[in-house]
Amino acid sequence: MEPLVQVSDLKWTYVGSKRPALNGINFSLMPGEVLGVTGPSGAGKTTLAMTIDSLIPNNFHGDFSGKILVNGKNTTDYSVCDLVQEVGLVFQDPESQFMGMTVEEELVFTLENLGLSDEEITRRVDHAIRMVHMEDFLQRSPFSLSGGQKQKVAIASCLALEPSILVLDEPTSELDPIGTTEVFSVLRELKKSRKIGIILVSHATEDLASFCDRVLLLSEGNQVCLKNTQEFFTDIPLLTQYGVQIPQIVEAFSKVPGIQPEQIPITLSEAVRQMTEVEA
Amino acid sequence: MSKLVEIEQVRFAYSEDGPEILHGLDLTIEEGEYIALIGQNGSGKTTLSKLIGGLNIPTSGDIRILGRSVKDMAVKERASLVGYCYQNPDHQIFLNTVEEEIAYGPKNLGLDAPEVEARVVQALEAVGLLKYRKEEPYFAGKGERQKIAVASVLAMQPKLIVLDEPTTGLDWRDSCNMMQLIRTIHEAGHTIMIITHNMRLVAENAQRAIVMSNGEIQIDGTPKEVFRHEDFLAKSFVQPPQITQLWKRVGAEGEPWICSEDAVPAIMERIQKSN
Repeated sequence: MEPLVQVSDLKWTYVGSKRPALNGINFSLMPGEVLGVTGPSGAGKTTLAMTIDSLIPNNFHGDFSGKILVNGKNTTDYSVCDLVQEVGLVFQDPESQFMGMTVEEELVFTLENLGLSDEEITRRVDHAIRMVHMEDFLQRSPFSLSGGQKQKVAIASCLALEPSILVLDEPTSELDPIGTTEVFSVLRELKKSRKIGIILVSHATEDLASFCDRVLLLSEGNQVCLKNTQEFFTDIPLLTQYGVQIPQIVEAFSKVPGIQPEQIPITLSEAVRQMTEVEA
Repeated sequence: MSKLVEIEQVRFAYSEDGPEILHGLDLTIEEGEYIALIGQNGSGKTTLSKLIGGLNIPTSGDIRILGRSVKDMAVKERASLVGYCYQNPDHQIFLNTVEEEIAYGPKNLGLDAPEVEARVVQALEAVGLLKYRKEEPYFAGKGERQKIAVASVLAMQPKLIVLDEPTTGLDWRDSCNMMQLIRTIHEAGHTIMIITHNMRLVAENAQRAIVMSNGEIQIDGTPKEVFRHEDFLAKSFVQPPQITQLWKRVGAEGEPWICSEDAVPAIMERIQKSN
């Protein structure tokens, strides 16, 4: 299987900045995989998200080196418009991305710009809006929606472009728990369909632990490690050193004297299984 | 303990013909408490906290601070009793240097220059930013600006400090620093009310949790009392901390677990049983 994204020795320094925002990043993303990206503020997470659809270096000034292949295409050879059907980018604040008067206009806008037929546009809008369960909201103003609904519209407007990669930059950090649950239930369905690869930038470690296959840790532009999720969230010294919040379940189990990292559950459902199996 | 804030049958709507946000709310806050106000967006938390902070006036009912109705208080007097920290520090910060920002409140309280200076130094020391007093407030990240906002409230030495989502947008390390700062302020004798969606912060810090939904108080008690009612919380769309969910799902006996250490004895026991 060919990777959807292949990042090799990526370096980027914003113009006027002394230190690279990204300094030697290497990873690949396979179809159906979810990669979590985490790290303290200023680690380069958002910058990394913006390189995948070539916003960096195409729309920013600075020094770029290394290589990013998206479905085999070298991002420096393509514009953001060329890659919009390969990579969907969802930001922390969905409003920053809205321009339509209605949810429908919001979804139709980019599709029209791609020169698609009316029939194809209708098919894609229907499909995308159903994937986020917002069929009844097509005629509403996107600005009148709740935070979670807004974020689902932002996701739908990406999905309408039928990308193979979805990059989400802290999609739930400004949402309340209902909004967060709504967004994750959509993301879980997308993951289950195994049609697209997801890169999720987040500080919410309990969500990362239950949703990602692997986690990439960044700090001050450097790649600290890329580990599978179980290994990452049970490496307590690593999490502590880089200020990553330890999921509460992991924190509790890790306080048991003599427990081995592989014995520590990282999600609620694993912990329940472990506690009830032991009793049986 | 003495009564600091008494809220009696307070109703509130943002406009005369607008929907009523709070429907006859009663609440008493004692001096020295550390309260977390929780509930989904739109439940009325921020509205209530702004009424307490004097940023809005109740449509009907009364709010008394130290026994006196806020209706009879000048803004200056109320500001010296209750300080309000906005969710987004950038909504609050508007001056050119950190020290001017901190001095603004005390100056408006009518304090003389030496007292203003003393308050600036004290507040900036408390948040660990004294050496940046001459800097422009945007010199650093959001975590630092959040501390500037807290310091500018602290400088007025209010009895009650209300903090609306003080850790939103901060990374974990900055969140821990902010919560440590709030703990220090509480220990120094201030009454604290935080608004947050982070139930783990509530479990680990607050002494009292108040759950709101639809403009009413649904549950009010210690975090342990509040988090044990998972079904009731679900109606207010509040999810208890992960470890409390584990407590519920494994049917553990006794007091609910709300912090990770609460679960350790039970986990140890079950691991030993399996060996």
